[in-house]
Amino acid sequence: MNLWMIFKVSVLAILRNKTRSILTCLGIIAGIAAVIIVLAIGKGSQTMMVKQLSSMGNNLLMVFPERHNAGPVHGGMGQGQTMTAEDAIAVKKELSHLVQAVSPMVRTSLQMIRQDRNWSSSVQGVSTDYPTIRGWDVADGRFFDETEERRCSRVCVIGATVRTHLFGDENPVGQTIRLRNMPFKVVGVLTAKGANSWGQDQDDCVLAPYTTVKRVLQGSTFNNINMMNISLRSMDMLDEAKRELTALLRQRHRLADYQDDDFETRDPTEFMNTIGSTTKLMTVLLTIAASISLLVGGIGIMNIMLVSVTERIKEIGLRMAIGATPVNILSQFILESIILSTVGGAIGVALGVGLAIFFGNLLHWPIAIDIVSALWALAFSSFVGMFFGFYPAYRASKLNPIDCLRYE
Amino acid sequence: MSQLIEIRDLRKVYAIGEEPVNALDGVSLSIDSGEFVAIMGASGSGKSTMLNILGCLDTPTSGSYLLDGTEVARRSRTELAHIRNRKLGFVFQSFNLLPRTSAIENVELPDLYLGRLGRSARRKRALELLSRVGLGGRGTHTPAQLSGGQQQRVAIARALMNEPPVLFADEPTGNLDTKSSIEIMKLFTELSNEGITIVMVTHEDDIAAYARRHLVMRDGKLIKDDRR
Repeated sequence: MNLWMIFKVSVLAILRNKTRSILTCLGIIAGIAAVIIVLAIGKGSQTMMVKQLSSMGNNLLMVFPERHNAGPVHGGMGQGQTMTAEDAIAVKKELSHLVQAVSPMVRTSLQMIRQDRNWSSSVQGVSTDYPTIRGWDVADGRFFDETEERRCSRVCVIGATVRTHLFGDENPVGQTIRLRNMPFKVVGVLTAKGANSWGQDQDDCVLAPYTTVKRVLQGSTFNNINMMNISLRSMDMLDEAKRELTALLRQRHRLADYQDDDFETRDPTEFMNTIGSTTKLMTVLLTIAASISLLVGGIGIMNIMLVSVTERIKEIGLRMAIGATPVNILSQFILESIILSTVGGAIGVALGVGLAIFFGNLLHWPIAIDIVSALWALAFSSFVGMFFGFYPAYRASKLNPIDCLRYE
Repeated sequence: MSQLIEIRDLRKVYAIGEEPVNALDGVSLSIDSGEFVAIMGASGSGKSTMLNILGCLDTPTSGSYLLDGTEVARRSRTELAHIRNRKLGFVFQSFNLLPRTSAIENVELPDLYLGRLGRSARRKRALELLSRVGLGGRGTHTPAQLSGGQQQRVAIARALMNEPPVLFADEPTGNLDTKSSIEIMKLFTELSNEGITIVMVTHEDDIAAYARRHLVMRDGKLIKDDRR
């Protein structure tokens, strides 16, 4: 008897008792569906996180001044006075083999007014490299240019949120807003970027040349900046870039060997690792929970197969009497178990994908269906069927045909 | 006629409790091809043990059993399964058809394990056998839709599927009314006339009367061998 015949025999036996077959599958269906949903959510939030982090910028490396100590008083991050716009220019010039764009940033919060509307937000002074670094284009109008940057021109580019609050549906390009009672010309509107990974609205800002913010808005004659955004040529150069950057800044700041750095670097991979390890832990825990339900499903299969062997003992006796070998009986029952669990697994995958998409849409959860993991789940359910089907099948194959036929 | 079954000094000892029970106590016998034999005897006489060993469902404790010229007394479970599949057909008292399975599929079953015929040839042969036993139009019926007599005919058709030289019947009319019993025995007589060897266990004299040779057993021994 070939395998195809045994397959046929098994399928016929399964179809002969549909209700029992469906009930047998149920545990596996639930288990696999749970696994698929958990993986879809885990993968989804991971994908979302990567997307959000990459929205921070292309190959982004941030440098903050720190360790501003006035006597015993320690300043916080970004409070140090030692990092200057000249540092940013030097980084761009001297590390050009590693760095494709550099922008200093000076930040100030203020009330912005346009006619009868006003809105409080932050003005970020940046360089013309900033759109490249953040991968952030203007939706309308243009970004300010180098001439405007050099001349401390009163021009600005506004974020989508600021646009909504100050202009509503009107076109802001070419219009004037007042910042600290000084008129600024709006030259462009940024594309909407949405919230970043910790929920801050990235569109709630106004960008202006850092020179303008420093000299005109802050009225300062100093050149210190709040931070420096750097876009590396490639993320592979991260370690090298950090090393050379540190050397360059230490040299420029005239730090002696015994002195600590007066700045600190941050890159998105650090955030990614922190958030990533949390989601990974969640995924692992949920996968364990889902696996347990799959195990329970497998035990359910074994249970029903054992009952089925007793219930069909006359069938087994008859099959043996007309020429089924012990191996035939063993194969038939294992195959029945595998078919049940695989079909259950397939239904579970479909159900899991369906529910994941349904709840993803309903609750606005990010969902990512991973075909590879779905196939693994399917393969695993077949394995569960084989594993838990073996013992009942083995018992069936060891039965004595005479006892089976006489069984009442 | 050639010898189909030849047993020599066959013994079967069951160890039930302390005392070993001699279910078969040195039986020797030969059955020629084409014979119609009835094995009779009271309950516990050893006739069922005899049929089980002749039908290769069980192995003797000692002695030899030549079936169609080959020794089958000491074979593995797998080898015995192959022998049953190719050389023997079984008809049981309780029919033993697969429930919720059509008559055709029940009849086809032995060839699924043999794999001698292709799909369509198998179906054709099953249909032929069903008309042979007088159930031409009922191939798609399941056992629940058939009477006891009809179920036993399906079982006979199934036993004939692989063209075995011998048919074993264990109280084939035990669950049937008189009318169906007579029909079944007529069918056996026809099959016998066609040259199929039939070995039947029964305790009813009027059923045994259809056979041409009567073996009577008592306490594991053959006490009478009547040929007519």
